[in-house]
Formats: sequence, C-alpha cells, structure tokens
Amino acid sequence: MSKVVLDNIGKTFENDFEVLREVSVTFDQESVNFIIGRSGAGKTTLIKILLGLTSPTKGRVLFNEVEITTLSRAEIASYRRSVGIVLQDPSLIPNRTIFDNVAMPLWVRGLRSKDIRHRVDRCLNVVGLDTVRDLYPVRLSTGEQQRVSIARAIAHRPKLLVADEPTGNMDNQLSLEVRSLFDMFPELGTTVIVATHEPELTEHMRHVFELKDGTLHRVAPQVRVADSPSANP
Amino acid sequence: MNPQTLPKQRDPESRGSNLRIRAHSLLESVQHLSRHALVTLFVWLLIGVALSLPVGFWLVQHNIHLLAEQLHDDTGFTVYFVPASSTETIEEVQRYVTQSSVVQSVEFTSAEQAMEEFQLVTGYDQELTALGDNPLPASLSVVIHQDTPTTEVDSLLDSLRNYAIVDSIDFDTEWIRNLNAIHQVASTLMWIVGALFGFGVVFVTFASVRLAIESRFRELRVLSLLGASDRYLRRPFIYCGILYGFGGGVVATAIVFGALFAIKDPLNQLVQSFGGTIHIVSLDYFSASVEIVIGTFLGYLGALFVSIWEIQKRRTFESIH
Repeated sequence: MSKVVLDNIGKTFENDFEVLREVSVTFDQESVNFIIGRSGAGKTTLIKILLGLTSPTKGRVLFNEVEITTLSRAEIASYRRSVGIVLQDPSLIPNRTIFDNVAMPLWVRGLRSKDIRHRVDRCLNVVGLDTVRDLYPVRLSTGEQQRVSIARAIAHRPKLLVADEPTGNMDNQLSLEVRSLFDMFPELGTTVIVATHEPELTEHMRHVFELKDGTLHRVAPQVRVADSPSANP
Repeated sequence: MNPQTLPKQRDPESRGSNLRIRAHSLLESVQHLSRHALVTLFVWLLIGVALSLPVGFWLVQHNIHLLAEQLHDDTGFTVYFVPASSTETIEEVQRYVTQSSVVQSVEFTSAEQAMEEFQLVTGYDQELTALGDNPLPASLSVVIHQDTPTTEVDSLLDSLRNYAIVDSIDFDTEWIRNLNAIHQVASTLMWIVGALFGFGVVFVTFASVRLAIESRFRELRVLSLLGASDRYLRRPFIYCGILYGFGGGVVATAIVFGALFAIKDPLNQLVQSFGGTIHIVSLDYFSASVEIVIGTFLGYLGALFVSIWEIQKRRTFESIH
C-alpha cells in the first residue's frame, strides 16, 4: 500500500502570494503520475510539501493514511526513508564514487555491506550503468548522472518516488530514456510522482495533472491506456 | 502520530542496523581524519600541548603538597637552655611542654649527651676534651602534632621564651609556610590553567569539526533528503571530535612523560640533596588514563556543541533548489 492523498492543500507565502489553493488529488498506489505546469505554477512547492520540506498553509497530506503534515522532525526523517527523491540537479557527491553515491540511502538504513553491494549493483544495472560503479560523478554525462540519482532513489526500494524536473537539463531523447525508467517502477511496488514543465514527457501517460492558477486539474490521456504499450497497467 | 501507522521501513536484513550505522559513522570519521592527516596531527598537537600544561601543574602542586606533608611529619622545634641551668628548672620547662596539647613528643638531651654526639659526629675528641668546660647546652627536642595551627605553635613558643633558662629556640616555620603558600598558588593556577586550556581544547575541536561539517555540506543536504536523522548527520562529526580528543590526550601524556624523562636526572639530584627521603610522584598509568579520558570528553563536548549548532543553523540545506 502506498497511496498518496493531497486533501485541500493550500500554500500562501509570507508576501501573501497564494501559490496553491484547494489542491485535492489521490495518487493511486503503484502508478506513475505527472504534474505539469509552467514555471512558477507551484510544482516545486507541491513537491516540497510532499517531502515534508515545507508545510502547507492549509490542508493535509496523507501517505498510507498517515498525515505527513503533522509529523515531528524525527518522524519526517523516518518518512523520507520510505521515499525516493530525484531532483533536477542530480545532487551527486563529487568526491564519492558512483557506488558510494547510490549506497547512501542504504547506509542511512544500516544495511549489511554485502546487501548494499548487491542492491547497488542491481540498481545500477536497472539504469544501465553497471560498469561505472567505481568512477566518480565528474566522469559521467549529465544524463548518466541523472540515471545514477534515479538508481540512488530506488536503492532502498521506496514506496513512493518523487521527482522534481528530473529531465530539466536533458535533451528530448535523454528525457524519454529517463521517463522509461519511471515506467518500470510500479512493477516494483513504487508509486511515482513526477513534476515537469515538459508536456511531451507525459505522452501516452494515464495519470497526468496540470497545476494551473493554484489548483490541480486532471488532464485527459492523449492515448487510451489499452492502446499504448508504454502506459501504466 | 500513531506509531502503529508510521511507515516502518525495516528490512529483514537490517537487523542490527544501529550497530552497523555507528560502525559506518566511525569508519567515515577515521577516513576523514586520515584524508586530512596533516590537519589531524596539528589538532592532536594543539590539544596535546593544551592538556599537558594543566597536567604538569597538577604534578607540581601534587608533589609540593606531598613534600609539605612529609616535612610536616617532622615538624618540631628545639629548645636550647642557658649553659649550667639547673636540672629542676629544665624539668619544669619539660613538664610544661609535655602538657601542651599541640606537643606530640619531647626528648631531652643533656649537655653531656650533646657533647658525646658531637664528638661522635666530628671526631674532634682531643680538641673538645682540651676545652675543659662543656660549651654545649642541654636541649629539648619537641615534635608537634600534624596540622597544628601556626598560631597555637607561636603561642607555645612565646610562653617558652618567658623562661629565663631558655636561651634560644630553633624553629623555622617560615619556609614551611612558604611551601604551603606555593602549594596554594600552584593549586589555584592548576585550576585556572586547567579551565582555560580545557576551554581551549573544546574550542580547537569546535573549530576543526566545524571545518569538517563545512567540507561535507553538500553531502549532509543529500543525506537529509534521503531520510537521515539529525543524530545520524551529527554522529560522524561527534566521532571526529572524540578521536581528536583521544589523540590529543595521548599526545599530552607523551609530552608529560617526555618532560619528566628530561628532568629525571636533576630531579634525582634534588631528591638526593634531601637525603633521598623525599618521594617524587610521577604520572602513573591511572593518571595518564584520566588525562586521555578528559581529552576524549572535551573533544566530544566540542564536537557535540558544533554539530548541534551547525546542523541546526544549516536547516536551509533541505532546500531542493
């Protein structure tokens, strides 16, 4: 079970700018969900609220029926251990090898060394980078670095994967490659929420939401699920 | 929050994870110290010097204290009588002294006994016999109780000086008083220097660990986003501080042992000059261990303060853009 519910979320900044108002949506478990919208529409704010990095002015976020918005700091940390995060900037640690970068969430969870090795190798294999484990990030292209950050995000088998503009620095081809990775995660039991300003990334996708004027609207799928081999089950 | 609904992310293979997390943090700290070996050595040396000074003061004041105690054991005075004083009046003085509550024991030495001892020590038998009259006075050797207040001793001495047959009293309390005063000064200095240099150790650790936190700022941000608790983020830096303090304690012990080794010969000569009766206390294993433990604790304190401070201050590292 990894259902995410946003219930009447509103967010007003200190300068009285209301970026979100009455955002209500349920992200089904083991689904890939896209939130689209122009720059400044509030996508990142919504992602921050989902990750417990900022609190909404009103409303609540439920993850598996647990209200995230009322958690303590320690509980937020515990919650984040069940979430995978992919950002526009891959945020890799330059003086650590690719292996170490992917292993970080597993260190936090205190797994055995042999389990860490096994999982990291498997995740790097999933993102097609199993030959670079001993290299440093600087040796990889931007696309490869982002794939490493995706491997890091799934290493601890998260129930929820949250991505904020994961293809922001990539060309179209690379963006579609990264999206194809997200398509695989529901099979692993992970719910995926991706915020992006690239509508082309959402082609053939079933769960697409547009953030406009502070509210979230469901966008009709361009192609029926049954017609598309790459769509969600 | 209801703990039953908290999403538990414990894998079956994560049993014993707390121990592994600590071991990993320790490994990270050791790696950090070895990667910055020169800085580490410098920090150890700084802490070592800072800790060795109060320990040195402690040894000095402790030895002065022991010396004063040893000398105090033999504290007393000698009353010399006017030559040819009558036995009755000498006995009267002896009775008066014996009755005093501050006196532990009294030993009478007649003029004849004094002459015999003098002859025995000097070997001037014939010369002294040639003098005819015995020039040496009869005397009373008085030992007073330990910890007797100086005022009471002075009062007894004044009373004795009132006797006409008392020629002189040989009692030098001044240098024992001076020794006690030096002990007091050394003891006070030890606490002041100890507090100042202890603060110095905390500050050195604080500054060193702060640099370590700054150098790993990006990593802390990522770890925080990955669900690392504050305690997890702090732990490697606290271990760094502990290792700095421990290493500094070991260096301080080495410095003190080295200094004691360097002054060993002149110290032995000094002891010999006191007839070898003075026992000088060196740094034993227990004291050395205490020094290392104090260093470790101060290192822990410095690292704890700075890691709480810095990680709290840098809450902004959780921003994702």
